[in-house]
Amino acid sequence: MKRLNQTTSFFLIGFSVLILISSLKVGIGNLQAPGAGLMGFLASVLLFVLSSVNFVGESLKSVLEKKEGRFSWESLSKQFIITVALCGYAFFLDTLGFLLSSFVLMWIMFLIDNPRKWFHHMVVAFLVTNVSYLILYKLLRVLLPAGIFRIQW
Amino acid sequence: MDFFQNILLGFQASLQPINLLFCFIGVLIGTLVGVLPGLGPTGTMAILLPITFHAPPLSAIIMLAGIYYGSQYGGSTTSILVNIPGEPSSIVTCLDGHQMARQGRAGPALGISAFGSFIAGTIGIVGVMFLAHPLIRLALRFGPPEYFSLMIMGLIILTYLTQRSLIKAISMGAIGLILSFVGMDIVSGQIRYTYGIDGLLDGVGIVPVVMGFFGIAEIFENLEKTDIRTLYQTHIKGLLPSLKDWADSIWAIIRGTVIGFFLGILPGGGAPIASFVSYAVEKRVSKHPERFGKGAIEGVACPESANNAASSGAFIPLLTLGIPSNVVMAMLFAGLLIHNITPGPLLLKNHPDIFWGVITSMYIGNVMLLVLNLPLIGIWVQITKVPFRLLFPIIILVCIVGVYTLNHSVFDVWIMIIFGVVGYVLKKCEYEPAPLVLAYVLGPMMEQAMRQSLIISDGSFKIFLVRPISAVCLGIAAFLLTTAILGFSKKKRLEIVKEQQE
Repeated sequence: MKRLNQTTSFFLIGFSVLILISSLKVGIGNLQAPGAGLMGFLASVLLFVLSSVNFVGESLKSVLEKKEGRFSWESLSKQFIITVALCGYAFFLDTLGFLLSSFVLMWIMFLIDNPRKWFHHMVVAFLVTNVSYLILYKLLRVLLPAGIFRIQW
Repeated sequence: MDFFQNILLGFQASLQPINLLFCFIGVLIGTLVGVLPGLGPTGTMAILLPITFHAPPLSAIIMLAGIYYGSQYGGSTTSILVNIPGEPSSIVTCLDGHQMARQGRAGPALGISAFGSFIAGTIGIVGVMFLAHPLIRLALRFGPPEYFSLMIMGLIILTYLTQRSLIKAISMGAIGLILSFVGMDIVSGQIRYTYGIDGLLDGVGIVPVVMGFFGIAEIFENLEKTDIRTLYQTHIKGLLPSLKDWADSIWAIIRGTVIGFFLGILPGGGAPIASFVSYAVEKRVSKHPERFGKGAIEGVACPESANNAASSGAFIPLLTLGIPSNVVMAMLFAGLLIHNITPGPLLLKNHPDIFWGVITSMYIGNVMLLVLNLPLIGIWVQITKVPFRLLFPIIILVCIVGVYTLNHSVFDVWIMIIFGVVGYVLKKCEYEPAPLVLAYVLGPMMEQAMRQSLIISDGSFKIFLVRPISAVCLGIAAFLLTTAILGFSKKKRLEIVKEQQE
């Protein structure tokens, strides 16, 4: 956790520097006529200072501290699969349409827990997707992408 | 006389069939998310925001408010029966509620929780009715410096109360502010912090951010939990508390209501802290403090009353000052803005039907919750048995659809995924998301108030100190920051937690 905390603080320092430079580019104006970048500048300075303090604090901590909050490989692999599946979903949603891409996403999500029952999960994913489609598209009239195959009912 | 006319106007609006239906849907969904793990009221409200586009404004707000106070009711069921709080505000209820269930008294525990919540919710609403007018009169005297200082105070109180680490909580506030500035500057029309990405021209949407932090990141966290929800096998009978139960609990309910209501009004306060404080107070004033943690009915009555009263009290700063006091109120704030309604002192003048309609609908909602929670307890118990592995794919689909339908844009789905992953990593490092969301909502108002103040004062920061209301707000914020830095609050808080664990 110590390394993750340090990495996070380091990332936040980088983020604050980026915003700080951007704020200066936008223009912070002066106190009589504050510019569009003033508040962003102040917030980024605050974030820079706090993240630096946090980074130093974490670096000085003993390695033995903070044993809690570790990652488990099992949950980490599940989280990784979900993230990749979600990215794939966002990438293909407009192309494949709601019904097809949601069905695949749901199937993967259900498979994460027990891949052996793949057929059972496929049926459940099919039902969940179609019921949500019925509620959203048919009843609530929410616009959903049909995709290049125009799969709709 | 005006007061009764207003109440009548409110009931006239909230008793419309469409509003009754939306109120029912809201409290039903609220109870459901309170019972189920993985999606809290904030996430649910964010998902449903786009769906409320087509509904009349009052109906939409009534439904969103119903989700909030409904979740407080639902959270207690899992605390008592499963020893897992559905909501943070129900954590304290586990201590005595589950012990009562183990002693075969699950019925009275659930009963007093529902009745306590109802009484507190009702008194809370009456409090809102009485306090709204004086506060609006006060708010009309507020200028930009007062608003700026009040918002600073709200953010500091929130970071003070939710802190695991003060530094990390304030860092999250700063990130929230930065995110709120992305897009076009409302004063100069300049584009800022978009880095050439067209999707950011309108800013980062609140819904994808909230769904990332409170939906996706929450699911990632829940996947790590290995604890199996073991429902305590007991026959739930006798939901109506006995006379002795009432005698033991009535003062706890009243004290919990008062504490909860006033802590709810405080910017940055809210239901979780109200339930903790009321439990600590109740234990201190009790003649038999040794019974607490071993199944004392007043240990269920006080936190349940406090969290419901706090839910009502939290509406006061939103409806009168236009400042959301916590993350859930921030979502309601967003809901009002979507319908072109600006919360604040002029809300009562411009939209009296909405102001009083929302307030009276909470009373109707509380009656509905009583009907939902007592006779239907068996159904809620069955729902607690649904395993998370079946729930999370559906929650994910609901999150995606909720975010996508907002602008029919895949870009928002990407934002949600990014904030889900980032939010999960930040949570692992003990960065709490609540200050970020509140700062994000308050950011544009804070920026405007600060720039106006500086223009009024010709660039002098003294303006924040020479105006009494502003000075008091900043003084409170400075005091809280100082005590937090000195470590006093953390030590005191750890003491309370330790005491409760014992």
